[in-house]
Formats: sequence, structure tokens, C-alpha cells
Amino acid sequence: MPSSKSAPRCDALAKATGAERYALDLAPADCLFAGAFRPGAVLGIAHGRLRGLDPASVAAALAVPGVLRVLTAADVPGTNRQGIVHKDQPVLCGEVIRHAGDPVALVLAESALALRRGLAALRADIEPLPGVFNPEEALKKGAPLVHAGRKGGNLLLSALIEKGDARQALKSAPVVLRGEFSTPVQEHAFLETQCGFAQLLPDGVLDMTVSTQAPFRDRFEIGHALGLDPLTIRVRSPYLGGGFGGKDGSTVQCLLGLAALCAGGRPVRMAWDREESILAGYKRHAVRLRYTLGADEDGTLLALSCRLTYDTGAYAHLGGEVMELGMEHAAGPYRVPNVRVEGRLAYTNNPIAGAFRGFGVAQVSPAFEGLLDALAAKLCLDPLELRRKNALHTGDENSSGVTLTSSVHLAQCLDELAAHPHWTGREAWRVAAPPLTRRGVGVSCVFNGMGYGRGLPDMAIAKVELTEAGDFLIYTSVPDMGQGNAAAFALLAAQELNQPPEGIRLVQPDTERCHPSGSSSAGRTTYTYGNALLKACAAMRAKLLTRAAMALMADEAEALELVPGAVQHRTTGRSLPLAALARFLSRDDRLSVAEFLMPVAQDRPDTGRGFAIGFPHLFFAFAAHLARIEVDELTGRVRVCDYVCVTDGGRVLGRSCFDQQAQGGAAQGIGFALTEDFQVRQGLIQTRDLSTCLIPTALDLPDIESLAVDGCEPTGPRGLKGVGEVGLNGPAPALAAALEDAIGTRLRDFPLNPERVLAALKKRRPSSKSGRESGTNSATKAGPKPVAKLGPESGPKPGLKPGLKSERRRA
Amino acid sequence: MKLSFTLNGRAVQVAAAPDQRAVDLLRELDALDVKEGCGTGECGACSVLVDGVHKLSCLLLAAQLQGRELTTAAGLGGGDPHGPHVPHPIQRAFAEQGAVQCGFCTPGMTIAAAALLAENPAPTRLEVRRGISGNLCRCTGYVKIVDAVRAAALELADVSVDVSADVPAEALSAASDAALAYPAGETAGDASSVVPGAALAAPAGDAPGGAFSVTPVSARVRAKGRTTGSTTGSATGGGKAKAGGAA
Ligand code: FES
Ligand code: FES
Repeated sequence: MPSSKSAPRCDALAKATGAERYALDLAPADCLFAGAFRPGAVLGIAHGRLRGLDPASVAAALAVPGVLRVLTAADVPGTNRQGIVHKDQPVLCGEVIRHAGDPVALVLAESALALRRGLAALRADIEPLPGVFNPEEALKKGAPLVHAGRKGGNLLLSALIEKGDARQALKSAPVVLRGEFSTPVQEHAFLETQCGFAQLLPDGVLDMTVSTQAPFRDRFEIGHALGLDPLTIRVRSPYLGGGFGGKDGSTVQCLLGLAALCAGGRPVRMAWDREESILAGYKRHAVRLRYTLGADEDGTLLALSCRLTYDTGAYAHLGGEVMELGMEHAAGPYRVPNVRVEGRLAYTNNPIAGAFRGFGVAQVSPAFEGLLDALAAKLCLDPLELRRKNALHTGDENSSGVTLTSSVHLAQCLDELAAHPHWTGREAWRVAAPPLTRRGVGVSCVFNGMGYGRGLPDMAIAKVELTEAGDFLIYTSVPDMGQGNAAAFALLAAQELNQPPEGIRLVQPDTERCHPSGSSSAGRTTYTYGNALLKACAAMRAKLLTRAAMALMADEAEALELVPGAVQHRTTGRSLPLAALARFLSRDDRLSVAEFLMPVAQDRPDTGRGFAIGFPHLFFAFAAHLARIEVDELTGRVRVCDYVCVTDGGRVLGRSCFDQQAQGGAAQGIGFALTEDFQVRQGLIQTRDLSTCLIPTALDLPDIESLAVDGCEPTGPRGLKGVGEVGLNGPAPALAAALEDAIGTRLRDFPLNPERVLAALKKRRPSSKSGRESGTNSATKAGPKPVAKLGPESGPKPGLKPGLKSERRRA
Repeated sequence: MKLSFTLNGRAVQVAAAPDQRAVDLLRELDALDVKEGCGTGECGACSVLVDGVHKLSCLLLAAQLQGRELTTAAGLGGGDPHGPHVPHPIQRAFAEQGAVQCGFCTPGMTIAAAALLAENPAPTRLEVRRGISGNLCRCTGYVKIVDAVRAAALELADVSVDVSADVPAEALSAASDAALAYPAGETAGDASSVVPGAALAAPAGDAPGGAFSVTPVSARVRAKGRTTGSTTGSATGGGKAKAGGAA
């Protein structure tokens, strides 16, 4: 494990000592308190007609000492519609609630206690409507409509990626495998819940400080919903206590803005408690996946066809974009000549799904990898070899028809894993399983697109200032939700300007002081803003050398160089301190601003239908993961004994930060695959707190090993690519593969919880007390007939003969 | 009611409703390093030391602070309270080892680490994991947090004493990367044999306010289903109660 002693993240110590201030820490003491009334959950209604608030209850709420206002939809100026792409979500519902967390009133109070009492006094009259809770049901004729009168009904988006002729190719493919998969809702569970504070200033500016990933875009969302000029809204975004996609788009923003508009100029704060955070926050989309894969007898992939159904819940949020990215990754990081990916995105009365690290891709990963493993088993091939054989390389055409001119080092990831002792020694480890446990080893190969994709320019504008004190301010403009981009910016600037770390200071995103640079998301943050920053720093350096030339009596600026705290003449050593130089310059002249636009695929393929924006992508991070697990035969519990991620994130700027992303992503992926098990029944969330939403504790995870392949993405700042997302995609397929290795059955519904594992163990012949014979489980993999064309491939059939084992072995 | 207690070495006198939550009172007193992540004793973000014992301030009432000595993360370090803050070795280790990402769990995590090291100055990796298992982190995957606590332990340990105190040899093999890895044969996985019941479920009420002490956090969480009741062979604390029941 590399020691990072040399270069800790610049934000780390202030956070460790508790000195760092997050959004709510900055709220003034005289804040009012705002809170939303969400009656659906209490009444057990996920879809209902709102007849109104009980007037007596409103009077009772207003009678609570300290309660100032009870606001309803009628009080919302503007459209009362929020949403990033589709404006379909009311700030306060007036007629219908479409999921159990929909707010119907906003209470404004002098204290937290008064707010609580005021909210508790309110009653709503809601007539239950028939709901729809399954996306496939939602798309059937006659299903209850989530948005009545909407053209297109519950079908929010239907899209297609078609390359070559998958149907034809599948007809003639020597090996055809099918599988159906499902992945669950996932809760972000950031430790800092959604929060912020706001104040309407005398000059009409709505000044907000919010835990948000997208301060610049927020202004437009809030402005549209509340009928305000977006440019009169100021949003500041201090360090976030976690985001992972769940703070991309309005959470508290519109409600808080509304509260501030009605607070007579006083500041107002809003913080969702954990229960509200889970009830009203955005989730990872649950997805159903139907896959068919065709391959040659030697394992060469020939065709892939699949149908994906994403459940966006009550509102669109970024559902279309999430599904788009999932579809683009549906065929895996492999060369597949014929591809057909159908995607359907449905409204239901479930909790709202939105952005979540691994953005649609975490859901398709266990499907394509599941079939890859089935193919390996069928053809008696080593699963890692099979992946290596089909892996994408630079210059290949991917499944969307994009020629990958960007860096692709997936093969190196696989090489690294193939040589890892956990892989080479897997047989010995497996057979050493203690009594009543079974062991298994699995691998997965994943990728994740970087940036917004074509049609939505991925741009950042960096601003650097030389201060009068002679140090540099970086106006960061893309929030840091914990992934370390702010520290990466400071490091890039320090390198480019040749300054010590203390010579660089960061201004956290603030729409008034910084330039729009997009959201903190999509693995784009460090890439796009980092490139802009390097340009701004280079321009700053050139400017300072030129300006210093006169003072240092140098005929040519080239004779000068930036050194820590000064400009220096190379040959004579004469130098001018930056603080002195700064005094010669006006503020305007001490600024440097530069922008960067992420390149897009040049040969725009004609493969996508139905995508509004964001198709296709050109840059991808890649990873190969390995999991070693132990399954308890009595409880069905899966324990992750070892976990290895090999990541291609381009050149590694800071190793510690790189490993943080790999380990943190894998940890969330392990939770997604095994324990989190977010439960929604009839639209009502059953997983209401952190004692049931089982995000991993320190005892649930092994020491996740992070390895890097040192690739280089030539367009990246210092050759890097974004690695924030890819790590989350690996665990579900790797763990499912390891589980199959251990128990002989491929589970295709996630999470791989003890109930499912036990059921699978029961279905199969019970193992002997002393643990099973070495390698028995491999027998149970899909049959060894290499050339047979199979029907639905739903794991091994009960009663498969143990003799098959040796055949697979021999092969 | 009028309360007086010590907060990070400073005497505090304050009027508070006796049923006010300690976390709210502390934050009102500008101890903004005390975070709230759940308010129900599940995450550990609000961890503080009360008379040196790790407690969750979201489950403490203001009245329970009367006469106590409180330490929050900001009070772990040294230095003149009005002068510059000198970070505690644990805090420096967290920064240096990359144990901080969003940082929201970190103040609470450093408190848990401090409580652990006070009891066990040379914890193994597994002991560290057990010691911080009541504190959730959603960002890091915990590897670097364990590194940091072990690095801090090495730094805090008086090596000459430790040698004779029979500290595991690997703990003394300098603060090298290797020293931060598991000793041979010990993995988090071995939790299965050590974690169950006894390790986590210390009796509550053994000290004033003991129902809120760190150990019962686990008990509380377990009761709600974070780990099974039986814990038979349970390695992952993240199973479901009903699975345990089925065992
Ligand atoms: S705030 Fe989560 S335990 Fe106290
Ligand atoms: S660093 Fe974000 S929760 Fe621990």
C-alpha cells in the first residue's frame, strides 16, 4: 500500500481536525427553519389525489408558537416545476402525489422545535389512486398513469442502439446464451444529508449555500420553478459531505428558495433528517435486463441483443441520461460487431431515481459479465482469457460504433489481474474452505464513460488570481463532494505555477465569483476543469514573466522563470517576489481565465435512436476486479475475503487519491451487490434508516487492494482520466461470479442476500459436512458442450452430473 | 436548566432545556466539528468523548453533560485554545494516510480512534476495524482509515516501552507501508471467529450514561438488525436479522 505521507490532500487536515465548514455549519445563528410536509409516507399512499390540507390542522400548525407560515402549491410563484431535463416535478404538489415522499406543504418556523411541532400538526386529505410499482407493468395498456394526460403515458423514453445486425448474427451464431437479470434500488447514504440555507437580500438576490453538485445549473432549475431570473440567484457550494450523484439536481434548493422568498428577508435553513433523506432523496434506478449473447466456438463475441427496462420512479430527474449511459455500456468493454440495445424508461409511483455513481452502468455490468462467464463455462474457457480475447483496445470500434481514439488499457488491467496471486492461486485457496463454508473466486471487467457525451458540451472555465499577498487563488467552480478534485486542482496549479502547496488557495464554488463549469459528476470534474485550469495557469505564468521582465531588466521573458514565491532570472538569479509584482498590476491584470471543452467522437456513429443528448461518449475508464468470497452454508451469508481492483484511469496524478476512488467505489459496489437491499413495497420505502440500509461497516469489507495501470490519456490534464465511477461497477459482477464459483449457481437478481444464497444452496444438492470435494462446484457451471445452441440460460440445471467437472478441468 | 461542563478544556456555563439533544447544544456552542449524520445512533458522526469515553451526542441529552468533561474532534489536538490548533497525531495520520475524503465522518471517526487507542495502544488491523465499526464512512471503504489509526498508534507508541511490552513485532517495524498491512494470517475476514456477540455486546449501563457508550451502539444497531442476533460464523456485520434467525 503506498504511503501518501509526502502529499496529503490539501483539504484533508482541516477536515480531520473538524475545522472545515460544510453548508449547514455556515448557516447564521438567526436562521429560520423550513421543513416539508410529506404525508404520503405516513398515510401509506404512494399515489393519490390531494383534496387539500385539513384547514383545522393548518390552523393548529399556525397556532404552534414559533410557526410563521404554512405554504402550499398556491404560494409557489413560477411554474412550480423542477427537473434537470424534464420539468415534471412539483416543488409542492397541489393536486396529486406521485410517490410517498412528495411534499404538499412547507412550514416556516422560528426554531427546530416549532418546525417539528408545526409539521406534526398538519393533516392532508388524500384520496388513494391506483398505483403502478413495476416498470414493466407501467408500460402495459391500461396501467394507471403516473402523470395523467401525459403524451406517451408512463413511457418516459424509449431508445435504441443498433450496430450491424444482431438478430441475423444471433441466428447464425454457434453459441447463443440468454439471461435475465435485475438490479435493485440503491440509496446514496452520504453521511451529510441534503441541506443548505438561503436568504433573500435587499437587492433582490436570492443568496443560497447548499450541499450541491451543480451550483450553476441549480440557478436555472430554481429560477424556472420559482419564477425568478436565474441570474439573481447566487449559489455557493462548500465542501460536500458526500454526494455520489444524489446531490446533482435540486434537493432542498427549490423548497429552500421558496422559504426564503417568504421569510421577509431573514435567512432560512433546511436540513433533511436521515428519514426524509431516504424518503425524498434520489435513488439508483432499479433495472430489469434481458440479454442474449452470441459467440463463435472459440469465444469470439459475435452479437449482443438486450432489452433494458429502467424504473425512474415518479419523476424523470436524469433518468433518460442514466439509461442512455447504461445502454451505451450494455455490451461491456468488448468488441462486439453486432449490437442491438433497446431501452425503456418508465414512470412508476416508486421513489424518484436519479444520478448515482456508476450512472446506469452499474446496472448493466452484472448482465454482460454474467453472460461472459456463462460463455466461458460453456466453452470451457478461462473467464479471464475470454475477456482478454474480446477486450477493447485503442483504435477498436466499440458497441456504439465509436472508434476509440482515446486511451484504452483494459488489456493491461487484465494482465495485471491474471498475474495476481489471488487469481493464480485460486484453486488451492478454494479447496481450503473451512467446514460449512464454500469459497469462490470471480473476476469482472468494467468500464465507465467520462463526461456528458455528444450534444451537451462538457466545458469548464477556470479562473486563477495572483493575490496582492503574492499567492494564487483558484476559483474552483466544480464542487468537491469528497472525491478530491479540489485538492487535485491545487496540485495541478502548484505544479504548473511551480509554487509550494501553501502558495495555492482554493475558492469553493460560488456562482458569483467563479465561472460556470458544469456539475461535479460523470467522472469529468478533474479532467475538464483540470484542463481548463492548466491553460489558465500557463497563461498566468506567461503573463507574469512578461510583466516581470521590465522590473528585472530582462530583454526576453524566456530568460525568466516562476520559482516559489517569485519570478527569477535564470542566469543572474535576480528575482522579483510575487507580492511585489502583484502590486504593479491591477486586479484585472492579476486574473487569468481559460476554458476547456471536452473533445467528442468525431465520426459520430448513426447507431443511436431516441437520445436527446449525451450520446455517444469517447473517453472511458476501465477496470478489472477480482473477489474472493466465503459463503456460509448455514446462513447463506457471503463474506468478501479479498478484493482487488486494477484500474485504468490514465496517468495517476496522486496515488493516494486514485486509490481512494477505487476503494471507495468498490466499497459502495460491494454494498450494492450484497447487503444494502433497499426495499420498496407498493411504493412505500421499507428501508427507512441506516440500521436497515446496510451500507458496509469497517467489519464488512476486506482491505480492498487498488492497483493502477499507468496508461496515459493524451487529452487529459497530465494524462489522467476520471476514475470516480468505474470502481462501483465491478463488484456486482465479480461477486456474482465468485458466488457461482462457490455454490455452482449464478444468481441474477441482486442483491446477493442470504435469502437468495440459501435458496440457491437448497435447490442444489446439500454439500457434505466436511465441505465439498475440491472443485465440485465447477461441475455445476453451465454444461461443457462447446457448440451447442442453448435455450434460456438460467444457470445450471439441478442434478448436473459431477462428472462434468473433469471435462471442464481438462479443457 | 443551567448546565456547566468542560468543552475541549474550556469551562462552559449555559442555559439549556434538559431534554435538548447534546449534539444540538454542542453545535449551538459552536462545536461545529460535531456532525449529525442520522440522529438515531447509527452512524457515529456525532461522536464525542465524555470523560474520555466514546459517546454519541445525538443520543445524549444536554442534562447528561452536567459536570462532565467533553472532548470533540477539535479538542483532540493541542495548543493554546486561543492560539493555532496543533493537530493530534491521529488527525495528522488521517490526513497523511488518505483516510479523509468528504470528511463528514472524519471528526467522529477520529474520536472513535482516540477512544480505541486509549484502550488498546497497539491494535491490530482487525482490532481497529472492530473499534471503528460503529462509525460509518460512505466514501473510503475504510482501508486508509485503518492505515491511519495504525500509523497513529505507531507514532503515539513509545517504542522503547513497546518493545518490552510485547507489542506485535510488525507494529514496531517502523512506519513503513509494510507495517500497515495485516500481519500474516490476519485478515478482516477472520472477524468471523472473533466478532460475534461477546466482542460487540458489552453490557449497557455500566457507567453513567452507559446506555449511550460506544459499545452499546453496536448493541443498539444489532438490535435493529445491522448484525444478526446469533452471529454464528457471521463475518459481515451487514447481514439481516432475519437471516440470523434462519440459521
Ligand atoms: S448522528 Fe448518527 S450516530 Fe449520532
Ligand atoms: S469520508 Fe465521507 S463519509 Fe467518510
